[in-house]
Amino acid sequence: MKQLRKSVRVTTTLLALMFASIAVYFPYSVYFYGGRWFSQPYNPQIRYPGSVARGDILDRRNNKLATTVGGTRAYIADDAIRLAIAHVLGDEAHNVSNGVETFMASRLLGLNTNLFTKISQAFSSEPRRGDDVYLTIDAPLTAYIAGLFPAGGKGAAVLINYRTGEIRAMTSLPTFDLTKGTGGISSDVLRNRATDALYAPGSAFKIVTYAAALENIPDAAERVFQCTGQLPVENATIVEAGGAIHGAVDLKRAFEVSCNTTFSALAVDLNYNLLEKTARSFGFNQETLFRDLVMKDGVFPTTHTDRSLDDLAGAGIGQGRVEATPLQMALIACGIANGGVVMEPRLLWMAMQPGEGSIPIGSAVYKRVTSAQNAAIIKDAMIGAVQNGTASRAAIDGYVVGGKTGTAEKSSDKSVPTNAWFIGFIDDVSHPLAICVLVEDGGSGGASAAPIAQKALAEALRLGY
Amino acid sequence: MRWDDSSKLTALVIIFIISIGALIMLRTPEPDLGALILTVTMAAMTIICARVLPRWNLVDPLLITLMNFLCSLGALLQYSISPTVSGLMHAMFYAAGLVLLIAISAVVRLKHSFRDWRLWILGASLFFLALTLTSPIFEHNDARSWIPIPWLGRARAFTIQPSEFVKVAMIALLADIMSDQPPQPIPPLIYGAGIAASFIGLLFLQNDLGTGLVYFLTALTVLYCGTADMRVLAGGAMSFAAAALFVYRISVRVQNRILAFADPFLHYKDFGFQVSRSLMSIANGGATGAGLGLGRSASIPLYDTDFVFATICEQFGIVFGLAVVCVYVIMVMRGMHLAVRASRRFHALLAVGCSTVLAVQTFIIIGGVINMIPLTGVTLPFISKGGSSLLSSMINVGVLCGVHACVERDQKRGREYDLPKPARRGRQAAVRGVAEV
Repeated sequence: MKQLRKSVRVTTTLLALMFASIAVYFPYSVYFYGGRWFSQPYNPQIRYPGSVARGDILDRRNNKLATTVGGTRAYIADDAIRLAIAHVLGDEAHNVSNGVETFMASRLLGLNTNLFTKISQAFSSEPRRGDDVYLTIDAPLTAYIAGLFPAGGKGAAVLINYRTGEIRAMTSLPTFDLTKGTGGISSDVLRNRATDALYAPGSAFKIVTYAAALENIPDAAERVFQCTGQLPVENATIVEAGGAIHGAVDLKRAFEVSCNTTFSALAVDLNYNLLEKTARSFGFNQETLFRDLVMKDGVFPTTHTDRSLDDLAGAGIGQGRVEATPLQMALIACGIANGGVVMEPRLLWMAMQPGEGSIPIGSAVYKRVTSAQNAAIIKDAMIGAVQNGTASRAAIDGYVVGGKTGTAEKSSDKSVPTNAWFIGFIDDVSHPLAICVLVEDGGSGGASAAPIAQKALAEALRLGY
Repeated sequence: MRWDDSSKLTALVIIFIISIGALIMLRTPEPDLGALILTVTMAAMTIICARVLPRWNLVDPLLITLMNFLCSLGALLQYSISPTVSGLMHAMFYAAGLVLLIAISAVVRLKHSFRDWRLWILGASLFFLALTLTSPIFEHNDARSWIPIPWLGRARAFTIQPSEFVKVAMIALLADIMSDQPPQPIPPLIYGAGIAASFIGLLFLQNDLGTGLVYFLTALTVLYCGTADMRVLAGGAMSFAAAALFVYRISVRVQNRILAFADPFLHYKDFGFQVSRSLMSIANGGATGAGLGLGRSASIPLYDTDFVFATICEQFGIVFGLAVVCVYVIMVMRGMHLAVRASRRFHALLAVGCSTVLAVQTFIIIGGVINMIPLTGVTLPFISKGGSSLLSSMINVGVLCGVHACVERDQKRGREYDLPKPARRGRQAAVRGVAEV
């Protein structure tokens, strides 16, 4: 009997643990994921909201981007603005995944109220109206940036205030017209390339390799590398863009001229584990749970069976199986500019409840990507790349600009056009702006992405951001 | 009448029943008489169960009050979904269940061993489990485990699920076998494991894997407590791993369940639909819920049976959902406490088995509904629509009440064979104070 009682107690403990796991997991998952569960486009609560008038969506400068007139949704009249912000807004039919219309539906439908408001609403005869949502976006600036892209081109751009994380502009091309509905439009057009599409980041990823080298190789900053124009690995050979030979370079100079062989050699030195560790701290292979938007998580090759050195050498320069969204690359620039700390990207400036006044939304730290010391070293190298390197076309008179270009191959076939990247920032406390520009099939990052970024940053400065 | 903790609990439950019932009653312009009758009946039953029945030592007041809370919640919820089909059926089965509960409680109190009934119980269990395998007429919701009873049915044939009742029979058999005195022709562990394995095998053939899992974990617990041997747990864990791997290999349905578990929304269009909808419903409800009868959980397939917890969370909120989980936990802990207090092996093992069934079944379905574990379809005891499930759960409580009666009687006679340590007695006495009315 004594033994029986002992085993009964063991069983009781096990059962208690079982239920304790529910008590912990359930509130945890609802707290962190509830918003995402709710904002599924299939949610009947969002799809068929009943007799609620959706709230307005306004931008930073009080432009009414979307409003409800007589029960139907009307959008801003300016064509350029409407097209440029289509993906950010999303559509009423919820065909665009995670647009504001979908992801902030609980606010727009006025469901984000407390119990007392809910009860008073239930007894009130007034037609219900959702909250107005003010975005951090500057819509005219976004339209200006979208206009910089080559006509008919594909790509994405994100402009962020790196001190607060507020997204000032976010656009994705090709785009569509919200007034015409989203019925027959292909999912490729409806996709928000800035947050939802993964691309090889190319040389822009060298920032991560650079940080990994500074973290793990003691004399990395002083070491001199010999660039002979090519680096044979296992079966593949890493070559320089345009057949360049950089000769003897230190790490900073190699970064400025975007030397592939140096960074591939570093990646092989570091090995998968160390490079992956740094990549993780930069947000690769990490689940992101931002409050205002959904970003696809960047990928760094890890658990796959293929961990060849060729792949590793490619990963060091952002090729192979490394992938990231333009937003994530913008966040990397933010982190370097902001002393190694990335702020959570914000899209919601404030929400205005009818008759309740505004609810401001605060900033929060997303994560530290590297130490302040290393961030300063890389920042210096990025400024060098603009002053005296591949990113020279991003320079703005009177401001210190830092940047890194990327020219990402989509295939080993050299005749396939490359994707052009630029990520960069303005090093100025009163104009803390970071940017990422991706031009699909744009050729070289320095030639096509950097000038777009330069004009976009100049316009943002003119507007006083 | 003493105003102690138990009557406070009863009062709370009655306040809950009346307020929910009043809400349902006043939903329509004309006051809903059915809801009034249901409310009054459930409230009256709760009082009778908590105040009258314990006088004859028929029930455990704490267990029965909590059970009444869950059953009333179930009946009122089912009534708000569909008054005649589910609501009144639930109430009728509840009434029948109460009669069964008292009868079973009396049987457990009077019989100290089922030894002479053993083969009868075993034979009947195997017969009914095997019966449903013989013909496709027993198939419903992919599982071939339902016996239709045509003369009771109107729109849809009324069906009985034998596996719900065999569940209790298995506990009785295993508890009985494991309390045999040592020199036996067949070692009790082998005997018990063989019986459990044959039941689970039949359930596997019925394609009712959820119930099979409940059987497995329950049998494992009873066998472990019966032998007090950690190796039984280890062996059980290993055989579970092997069986899980085997089932995963051969069953596409199980593979799909795992995929749906990993990312329900990715598979929204096909097998992730239920869990996705369930999570949306939970999110729609938020902390305080959308309100009784509101919400969109009706779009979840099986929203009134397997997914009833999502419905509760949507209508009453997550906080209330967690409170419901707590009620189950208290019932389980009460059952396990009875097992510790029991003076006979047979009674202790009965209590262990019945508590474990309740715990495991609740955990499996709630865990599945909130996507903590892969979904396995079983009913939520006392709340889910379905007569077999409700009756079986109430019989289960009946067994626990019987054990409670034996424990009380044995303690009055001073027949504590194995006295607990003095330090523990203080705590036990306190708990007894709650129990006695």
